[in-house]
Amino acid sequence: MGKKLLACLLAAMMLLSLVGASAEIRGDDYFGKSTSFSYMIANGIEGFYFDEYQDAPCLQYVLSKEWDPDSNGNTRKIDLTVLTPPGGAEADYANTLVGTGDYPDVMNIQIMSMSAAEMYDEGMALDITEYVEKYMPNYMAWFERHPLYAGKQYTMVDGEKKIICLYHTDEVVPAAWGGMLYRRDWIVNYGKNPVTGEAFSGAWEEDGNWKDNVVFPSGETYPKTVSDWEWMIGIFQEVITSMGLDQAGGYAVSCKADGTFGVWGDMISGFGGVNGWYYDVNTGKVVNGFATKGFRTYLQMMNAWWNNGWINPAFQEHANDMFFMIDMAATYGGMIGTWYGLTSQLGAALDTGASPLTTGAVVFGAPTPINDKYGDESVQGITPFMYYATDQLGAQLVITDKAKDKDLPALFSFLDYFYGDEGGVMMNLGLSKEQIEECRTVAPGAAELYDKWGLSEGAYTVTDEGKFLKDPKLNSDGNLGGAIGLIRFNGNTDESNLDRGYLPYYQEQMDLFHMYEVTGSIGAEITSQLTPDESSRYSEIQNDISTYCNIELPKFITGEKDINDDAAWDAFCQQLTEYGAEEYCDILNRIYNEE
Amino acid sequence: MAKQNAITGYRPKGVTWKKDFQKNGLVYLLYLPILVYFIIFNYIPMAGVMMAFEDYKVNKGLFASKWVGWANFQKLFTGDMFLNAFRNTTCMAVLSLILGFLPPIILAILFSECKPKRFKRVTQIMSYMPNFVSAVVVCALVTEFVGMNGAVTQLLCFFGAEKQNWLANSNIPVFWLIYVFMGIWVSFGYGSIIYTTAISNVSGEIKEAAALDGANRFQRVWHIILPSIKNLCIIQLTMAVGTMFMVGFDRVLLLYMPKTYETSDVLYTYTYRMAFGNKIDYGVSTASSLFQSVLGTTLLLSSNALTRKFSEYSLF
Repeated sequence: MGKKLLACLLAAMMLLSLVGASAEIRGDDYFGKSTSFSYMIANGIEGFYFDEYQDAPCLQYVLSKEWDPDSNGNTRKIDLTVLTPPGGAEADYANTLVGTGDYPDVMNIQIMSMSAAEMYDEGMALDITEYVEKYMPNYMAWFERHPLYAGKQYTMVDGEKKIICLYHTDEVVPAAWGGMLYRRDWIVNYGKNPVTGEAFSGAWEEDGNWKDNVVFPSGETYPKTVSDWEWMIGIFQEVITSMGLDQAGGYAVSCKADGTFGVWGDMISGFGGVNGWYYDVNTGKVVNGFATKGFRTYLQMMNAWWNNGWINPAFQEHANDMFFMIDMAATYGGMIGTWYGLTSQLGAALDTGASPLTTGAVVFGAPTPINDKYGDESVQGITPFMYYATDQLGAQLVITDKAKDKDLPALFSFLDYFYGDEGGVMMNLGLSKEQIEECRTVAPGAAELYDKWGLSEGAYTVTDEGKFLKDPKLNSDGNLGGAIGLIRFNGNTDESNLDRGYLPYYQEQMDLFHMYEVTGSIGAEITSQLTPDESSRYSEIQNDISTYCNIELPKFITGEKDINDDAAWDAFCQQLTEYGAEEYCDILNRIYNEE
Repeated sequence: MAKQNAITGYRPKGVTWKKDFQKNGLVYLLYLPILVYFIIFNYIPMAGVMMAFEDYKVNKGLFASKWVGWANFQKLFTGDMFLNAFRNTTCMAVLSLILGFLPPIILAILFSECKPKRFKRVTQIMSYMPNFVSAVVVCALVTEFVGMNGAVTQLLCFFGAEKQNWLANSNIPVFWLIYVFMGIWVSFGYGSIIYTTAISNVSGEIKEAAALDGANRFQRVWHIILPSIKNLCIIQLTMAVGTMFMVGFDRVLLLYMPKTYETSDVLYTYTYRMAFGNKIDYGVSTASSLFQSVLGTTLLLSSNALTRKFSEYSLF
């Protein structure tokens, strides 16, 4: 009896060990399988530097490498075909691939109308949890280094946490590409010190840096509060009126057709509201920002600005302009005081000599103001908590079922390379001098392109402080800057070690955009977890509310509807509720609660 | 009878397909590419109508997507702005038909009566040109014309109108008229070609005889030219009624703004926002197109029946 029991136990243990062994992924089991993969990027690089993204020098270099997922000498190369959607028809391209069933092994789903969860639900995206955990140590380490994003590599699917997509990651909050801008030179030339009443002075220094003695009513050198903004806009209005610019299409404040700036929260979160939904760190819930007292207070301020004649009288007519390129003729014509624009407009960028109105123009950036004037105490003194383009998780990749019978360990080792130190630097900054020399043997085409572009010494150098300094010609040629690396691939971008060579005044403006911590943002890692039904409803609600707000918000600003009338405001909020504003919160809170 | 057949293309009674084919084989051959074109691009895609009744997923395709019955239509018709968009579409369609039908005919008659050849050619080419300009450029021009300092605005100001950007005016029927007159400007020259061709086929002898009998120009137009092109006018009118609901999506999309949605939003733009806003909804967009096609077909059949009854002539 004892022997029988022992035999049974031994048999059970052997069976369990067999099951256990078969559940664990072994790279050698995949050795010999196809290492040919197709990879769809979201968009390409203009064809000036190479015809196809496939020819990118960094890709040639990295494809010459061999991968050994299990570090046991079974090395193999990856054969990658890059698919680039035609510009302007990216979504059509991706949908056609999916519709014909001829989609690639690796897809950047940024341009698709399906979320990762939907693709998984449809059987198109693979559950890659085990592969990522085993073969992507650099990717997994990023989430450990960033507690705010801990565990967010997982998506809750069917009650289980799984990895179904790979995010592009940023080591630090990425540098802003846009924000609120204003004409600093107008304040210098036409403003007066709010305390002493003395005129300001300012000039470009010999080293190219801008220096002035502007002080705002708050005592800061930048517009910190709403009162600062109103003081500044008052100066702009005087300039515009005295120069007759108001008769030529000039105005003090440029805003979007719906009466807001930038994207969700820009200029508004300093009132404690958002023109959309946000994550409230205090309650741990997603909140409907439209219905907040703060948003109403913001509209009261905009109504006051409208009544003062500060806002573009035709702001509603710019519905087709991109939010960072509103009324570009007036902006570049030097006829606007403050607007939401690109960081490339900072400094003397407007001073092109094309118009006397832009001669001597100096553009500075500003953070979202803190409300210190409108409403009661409950909406004053609030630290802004929303700012666009600050999420450290970006575009998502899915590995499709087309790749399931291929050498996945090799693929994930390859993909992980871009999240490591060497691969991340190469992806973002291009090849070093040593790598170019290596290319002369293993990927001569890559070295030839670098030689042709005058970058034989590498795309960057490392300073004594250990920072990466880009070759100067890459700052002046954005297209070349994009061509030298692999910026269309997913990986990790680390700007903390990057010396961009900005002048002090410019760096100050860039820092102002990131002055406040963004805590209210609802990132892609949340929306990617929507189920197909939720995704459909989420989209429907967003459409309805977006259309409704586009129509209604300007009415409150222009006074067609009285923002101080409780009945009108309640009706507005009620309509939002009917469209599903609260249901939208419930959908997102479901995901937050499950995390 | 023979003349009537020549106009309508009917196969004479008693003549079999085979005989007709043997006799007019070349004509059938000439028709073949058109037939193939219509089969490939107009009939085969009709299977896509199924999408209107499905929760269509591109990866599942037409035959594996979930059948949802009338749900897409329900979503379309219960939208807050559907009635508004339907009203605007109808009004713009009817106005386009009423104001836009006669100008090509009048222009064709003017061309036919114009004697200086060089002037005639230049004006003809000039009138055709807007038709070959892309909608984006046309809309950009219209935006300039009716903008705050545009030529049309200044002209209207001369007659006492308020200086304004007319495209931002949400009063009825400002946007409707802008849209209709833009349509006339773009297409009336090109639309006149078919009438010009028909008028050129009117016998010169009849016109000459009428002139000898003392008929003036207006009488010759009224009693000879117009009766000669009457059937063509009926065909064009019937077809225009059938397609009147196809209010130009691109033009409205390029000209409208949230401020004027109340008067400028049409079924196509309403559907566009609903179906292509944040997430592509093929079902709703197909349902909307199907709805407009059914409406157009109904109007086409009704208009054909009416013209048959009152003019003894019809498209089919």
